[in-house]
Amino acid sequence: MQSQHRWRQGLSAIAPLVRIGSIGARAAQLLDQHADWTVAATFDRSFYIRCGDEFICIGDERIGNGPLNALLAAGSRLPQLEIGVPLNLDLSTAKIWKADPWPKISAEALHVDRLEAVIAAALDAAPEASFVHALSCKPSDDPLARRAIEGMTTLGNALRDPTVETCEAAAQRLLGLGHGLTPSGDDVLSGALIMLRALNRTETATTLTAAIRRHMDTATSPLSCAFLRAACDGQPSAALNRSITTLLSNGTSDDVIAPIRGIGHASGFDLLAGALATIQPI
Amino acid sequence: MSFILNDVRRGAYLDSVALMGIATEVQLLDGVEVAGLMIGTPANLEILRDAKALAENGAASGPGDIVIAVRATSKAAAEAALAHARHVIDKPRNSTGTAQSWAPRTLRAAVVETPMANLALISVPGDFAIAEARKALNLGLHAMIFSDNIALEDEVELKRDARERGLLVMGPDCGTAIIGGTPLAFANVVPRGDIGIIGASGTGIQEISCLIAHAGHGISHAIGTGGRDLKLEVGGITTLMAIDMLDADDSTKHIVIVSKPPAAQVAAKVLERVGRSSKPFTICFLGDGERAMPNNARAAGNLTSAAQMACDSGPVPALAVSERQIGGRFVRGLFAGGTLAAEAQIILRAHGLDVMSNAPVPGARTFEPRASGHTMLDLGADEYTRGRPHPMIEPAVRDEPLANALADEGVAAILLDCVIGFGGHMDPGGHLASRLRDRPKHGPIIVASVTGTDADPQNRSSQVAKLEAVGVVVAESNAVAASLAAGIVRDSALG
Repeated sequence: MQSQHRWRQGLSAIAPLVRIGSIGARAAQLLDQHADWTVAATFDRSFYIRCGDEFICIGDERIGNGPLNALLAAGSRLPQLEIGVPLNLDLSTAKIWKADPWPKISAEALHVDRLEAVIAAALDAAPEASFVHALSCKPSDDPLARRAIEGMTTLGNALRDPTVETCEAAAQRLLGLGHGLTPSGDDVLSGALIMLRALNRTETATTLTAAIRRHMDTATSPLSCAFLRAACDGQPSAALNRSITTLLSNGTSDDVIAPIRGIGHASGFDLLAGALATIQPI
Repeated sequence: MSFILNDVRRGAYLDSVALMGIATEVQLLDGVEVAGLMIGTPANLEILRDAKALAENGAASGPGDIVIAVRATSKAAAEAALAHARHVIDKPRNSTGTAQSWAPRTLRAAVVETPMANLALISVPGDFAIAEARKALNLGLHAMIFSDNIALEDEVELKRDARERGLLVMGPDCGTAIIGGTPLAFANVVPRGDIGIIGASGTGIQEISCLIAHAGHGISHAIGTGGRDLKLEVGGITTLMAIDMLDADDSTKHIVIVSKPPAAQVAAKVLERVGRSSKPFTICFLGDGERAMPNNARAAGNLTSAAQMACDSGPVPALAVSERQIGGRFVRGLFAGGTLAAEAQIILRAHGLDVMSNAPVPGARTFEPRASGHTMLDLGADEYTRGRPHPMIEPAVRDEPLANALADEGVAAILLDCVIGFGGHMDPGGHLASRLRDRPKHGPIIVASVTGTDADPQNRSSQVAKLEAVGVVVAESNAVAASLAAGIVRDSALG
């Protein structure tokens, strides 16, 4: 599917031009809704542009497709950009990306030994800072690790008994907690929301979504809010979509973990932690 | 007793690897008890509070901020740790992470990395150049603006602001400078010495500095001003500040000023300032008429004379070409350097020749493509470089005009410049030679000069040898080459 927009122009006709090869449907819609945007953050393999309150991540193929991701066209390179500069986007050959539909498999169909193998492999592979380690509930002297365990436990309670109160508690414990552009607690909540959608647990997803939406604006960063909103709408990245699909299809632990390894430093494992907590409540 | 210090970066985004890496690094510093770098979300602030590392300013941060929190055994240790964290945050590295590969993305980051820096060279599209120049001034840096396409009123405002701060704005469109022995943009490798140059013209500074080097002397500093500095609107702000600076500089014993003729009021102001100096000056206002000079200044009619006066040396020896039948009557000058084109017009006019040019000096006619006559073309002018590189960068820009001149039976001599040094093409002489090797034997005589030194990356002697190998007469300077070309057509007319 081709974008209808040949050019998207920022504030200046001589702003750098970036050619996009693939863009998430959510990101494309945001560009339609905003007249201009500027560079908000730059990194080695990507940069973020801000459109109003929303953010879009633009990078090379290593960032992977996602609702808020735009991948450079083949042969294009990341320009040297400064924060605050406008940008031109060429979407003339960009394909609109949407996640694959979920397989029709319930959590009950999961083999327990497979699930345990995935958790063990994730604990083994995740960086120290990831909230995946909270799944093991090992006591820690580290104040962040302690709060991570408290947050994951509260989330587990919410997923077992999804009331307004339990979901509020989970959102308040986890939102904005931890390191990263998207704090680990936010990623855990996103992973849980996506898994709830994959398992068609719509009612629980709706209650948890409402709790997150009530608190996120004051509890976490504007950039992380943008990704949380996508998760609240049930929109996963291609990597998480693949990882959860493999998990629900009883794939190997290596195949479950491989897609999410490349998401941030710990973000991929944090997303997986939320997804695993949903089918294996603590 | 512990000391807690926080710093808050508003609206900043750093990835977790960077934040945790910096925190670990700071944690290892002497006297540091706790170090944390986190987004200022309420949940994270709680953690920092529990760790007794949250100060008042940190507690007031928001979810869009980054908090740098340090608890240390002494105030000095806390301050040093915070300074270290700031330094590392402002020094982003690319994926290879080596110091050699690091390139700052902002002026501020560059200043943090090199706090002794006092000059920023700005080369960005014109629309952004003024903003970058203002950033440089705000950081206490002198600015050299290589960029062009900047409005005259912006230049005036910027230079006035800089003057208030005691900072120099070189440019816009400043292509050449040599500061403290360091060539900037298009410049040559010349020895350090006691002659200072102030120039509104890039190739003018290059030609004079190289001729001074050939004469065994050296340059203290060469300060570019931008081509419009001596216009009435700008009022010579940079030129006057540069005079002040070189006048106060102990290493500068003689000062050369080179420019197109200034506005009358500005010239008066500049010469009045020159007259108040105790140092000798050489003033080269190319194409200017008679003008009274202060007692400590001498007027030079061309760049070669300016260099000779500055060095107090004798004239450059004239050249002669072996006699042969010459068919045409006119000189065709094809220049990469605009000032060299202007100088050639002045020399030809001084020989009584009527000259036309696309960039005419006072007294010369405007170039008409179908008219015949002595023609000096500045191929670096906008009409030749629109959408193409400058001929100093890409000598092929001159190929077509050169082929036309070689085929024109009315042309007796072709006058060429070959400007080398940093920023220029790596083998302009070799390229010219390749275009001239197979020319007709009885075609125009080719006269050229090579602006540069043997210390330049291209090596002047090697460039001269390549041109001479294909029968080009290479003069010591552009003025000598122009005189020789004028002599050729004059003799031809007499003969």
